[in-house]
Amino acid sequence: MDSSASKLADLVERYYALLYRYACRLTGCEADAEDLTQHAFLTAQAKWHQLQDESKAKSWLFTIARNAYLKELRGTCRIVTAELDEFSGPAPDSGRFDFDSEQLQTVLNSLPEEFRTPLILFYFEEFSYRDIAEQMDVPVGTVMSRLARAKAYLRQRLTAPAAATIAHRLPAATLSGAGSRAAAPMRAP
Amino acid sequence: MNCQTARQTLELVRPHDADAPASDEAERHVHDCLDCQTAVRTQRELDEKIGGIFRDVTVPADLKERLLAGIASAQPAAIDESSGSQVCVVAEDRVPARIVAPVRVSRRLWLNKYVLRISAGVAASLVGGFCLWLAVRPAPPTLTLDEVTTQVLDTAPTAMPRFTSFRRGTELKLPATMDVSPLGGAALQAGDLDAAVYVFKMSNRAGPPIEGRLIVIPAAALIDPPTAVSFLAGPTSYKATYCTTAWTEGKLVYICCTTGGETVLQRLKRLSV
Repeated sequence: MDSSASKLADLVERYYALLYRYACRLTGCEADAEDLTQHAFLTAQAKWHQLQDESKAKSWLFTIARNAYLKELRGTCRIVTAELDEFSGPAPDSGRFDFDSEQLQTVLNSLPEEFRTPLILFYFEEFSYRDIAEQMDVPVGTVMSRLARAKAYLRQRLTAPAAATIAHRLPAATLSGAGSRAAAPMRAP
Repeated sequence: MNCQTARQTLELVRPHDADAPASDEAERHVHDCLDCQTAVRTQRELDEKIGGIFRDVTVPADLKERLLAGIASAQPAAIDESSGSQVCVVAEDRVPARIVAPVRVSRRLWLNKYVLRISAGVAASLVGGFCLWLAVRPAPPTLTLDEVTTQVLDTAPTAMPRFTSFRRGTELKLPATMDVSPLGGAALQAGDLDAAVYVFKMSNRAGPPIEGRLIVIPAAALIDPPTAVSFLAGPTSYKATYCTTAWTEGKLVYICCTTGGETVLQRLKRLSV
């Protein structure tokens, strides 16, 4: 096994689970997540020579996965650039956080990718703002801005008092979003 | 700092992240604001719950082995550099069954690639066809008979290069209704006109030699092609020192110009009977 193959195997060892989890949240589908993970590693293998700084291999791998996902979205015309409304609803009530993984994924799926990715990477706590910004090729400030709005969106969709009334306030693009898979309606808590 | 700014700031604070916003001022605000204390605490609980769920994804038990097997079996050179899509050759007998299963993302990328190529091909064909049509379509006529005659007669034969062919591929033919025996020489090109010119000089028993020019031009190039269909039927008119007559034969218009007045032209017509 040559040096790059050995390093790639090491990369698989260290990051395959994290990358799969990311892909799972990004695509909202386990089968697609597996394909995306596999695709990312195979692409990394083919383009190993492009990796200048091996300390950034993790970010590079995630960037490959995201680019592949975006390319796939472009192919199916499901990309949408949407603006999220500013939400300034009441503070969430901690007693009403009774959503589950499926509901969370449904709300996540209804977010345009440009908001979904920073949100996922933020909650994974594996990447700094700068890492996320580099992966998305946007300024750090943009990452934080999108993150703040995505969190507000999530908060509004997931907390009980707002859940019943939020649907009609959302921009159509974010609900029927071509950039997302079909978002099932939130179940009443 | 107001409540909203303080909450938004604290929401983005991450320990050990140099790019995270400074939280000192927001912390001071929250310390003195009961509403914000509640909101921030609740947000942190929400973050904790969301983060926990986000990370709680069960990874397939054999995923790592399948990934490693796939990498070991793939030929790196077969990755399509242009699209990044996977076209790797996987030796089916060397990897577990699941790794050989179609990679949906890649297949869709391939499908998209083919669709794109076909679409691009169709588009290119359409554009090419349009350009070809532009190139070969008959140009709308822009010249009158009078303009053509004037331009030819104003150009000295010595300034005319040899005529090669009409631009739209119309075949050059001598007129069928005129005596062409005087037209011994090669056709000439009059400036940038898409017309052939024969300069002729023939002996005349009754007087001085008959000199003139026969202009041949595609009828499609003229705004006003003549309605006469033979040399004999062509009406007579005068242009400078020339007496002219024009007629149409098939796709070509002929303009015969002679010096010496109408008598000379009529003699030439008689010779053509």
